[in-house]
Amino acid sequence: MPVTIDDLATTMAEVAGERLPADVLDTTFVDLGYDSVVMMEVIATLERAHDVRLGDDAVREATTPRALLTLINDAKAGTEAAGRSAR
Amino acid sequence: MNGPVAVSGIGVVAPNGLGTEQYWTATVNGRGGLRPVSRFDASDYPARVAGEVTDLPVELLPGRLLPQTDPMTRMALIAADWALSDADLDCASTPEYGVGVVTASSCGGFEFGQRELGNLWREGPRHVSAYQSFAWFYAVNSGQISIRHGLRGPAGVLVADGAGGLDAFAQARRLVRRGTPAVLAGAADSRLCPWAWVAEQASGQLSPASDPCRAYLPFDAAADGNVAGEGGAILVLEDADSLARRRAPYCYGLIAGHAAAFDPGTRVGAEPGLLRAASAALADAGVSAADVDAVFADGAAIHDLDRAEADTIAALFGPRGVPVTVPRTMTGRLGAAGAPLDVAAALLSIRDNIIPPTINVTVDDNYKLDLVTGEAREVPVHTALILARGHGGFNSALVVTGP
Repeated sequence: MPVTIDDLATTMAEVAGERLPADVLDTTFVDLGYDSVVMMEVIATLERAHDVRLGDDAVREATTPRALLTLINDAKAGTEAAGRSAR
Repeated sequence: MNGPVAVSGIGVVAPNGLGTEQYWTATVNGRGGLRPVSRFDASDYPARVAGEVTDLPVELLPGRLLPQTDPMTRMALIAADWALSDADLDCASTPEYGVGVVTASSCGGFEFGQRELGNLWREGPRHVSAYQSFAWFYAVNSGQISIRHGLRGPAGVLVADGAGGLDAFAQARRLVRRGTPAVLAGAADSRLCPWAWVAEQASGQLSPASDPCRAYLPFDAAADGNVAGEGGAILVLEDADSLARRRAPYCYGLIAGHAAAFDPGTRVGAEPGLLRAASAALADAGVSAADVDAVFADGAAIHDLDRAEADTIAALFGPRGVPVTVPRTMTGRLGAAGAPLDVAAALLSIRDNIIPPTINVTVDDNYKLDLVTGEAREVPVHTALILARGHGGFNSALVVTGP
């Protein structure tokens, strides 16, 4: 199951104090008023929830909700593929 | 640059009242806020009474700030909001570097830190919040206040346990005299979580009494330790001329004098630090002991410390030579924030010409103090001396005068 914008909105509500508003897939987190510490917290929470590691550059690379979802879903797909091939 | 520095706004969050007027009404009427600890189960600890702030209106803060703030930071932010609004100071319309902030802290964000250390211990480093990087830190209140209001003037934090709360006003006054038109100054502290509570027990100064009315009795023969509380006060300090020019709604008075002194350690015959601090603060204010209308005492409620403070007051003013009060008996001791709350109370005493009482205390005559007990005392108040001490030999004194 890929991570959706709705999942991200819920995570943001928990760790950043507010749900993401609608229609912001391509708005930058900076424009939404979130600093890098908030994004570190959001990314760490997503990493734990989905058992993936995005690496230290994720905060810099995931400039928009869409970019963050792509990063995490690619990582998830990679982890799941690796899990299948290991079996 | 020794011009007068005035107070134009006060914001208070206290166990016996939220907001300046609620706190002050409770305080002049002797209504205390000490209760059995309810924040966590303290029944197995040696000390079980605290001054808790209940019903803090966190809805006044942006939701985004809540996940990243300890209770003490929320209290500091709310007190700062109220102080700015009281002063009618719009930070957005002041010059870019025109407003600064100086707070004091005794311990940082203990409750936040406890939760994250718990996460580290139980779950591992990946489960520690990124917000822990600043939320526990003793400078966090200055940082969050400056971010919230876009303050780009000088900022800092003073750490000198209970005395630091007065030193913050000295530093803020220094910044105003160097040219920053307005500086927020004060403190909010909270130590009401199990981790902080254990650290507090180690001080050996907390009262074992379970009755809130018997737990904090400074200058009483029955004194047996004190009570920890949470909350604080943030004040707006301004250059007195610019305050008048911008037609600020009210001037509470002037930060007239300050001094800090360390205890002399084991040197025989050396003058105690508190006496040196108090004398030097009066000299800095250009007032004599006879000018002082009220003393807001540190009031440790530990026999040796009460003796040292009573001796200091008697040395300056003579036996029973000045009205002395400890409104802290209504709030507990708020770490670095107790002294800023006393400064607020002193300025309100000046405004209303009334000295709030020290509650629950029957003064021990041996201290030779004119302690205001029972009811508030209505007398003209123009000049007040505030005393504060901190663990490890810190002593500070501040003089405030009417406008």
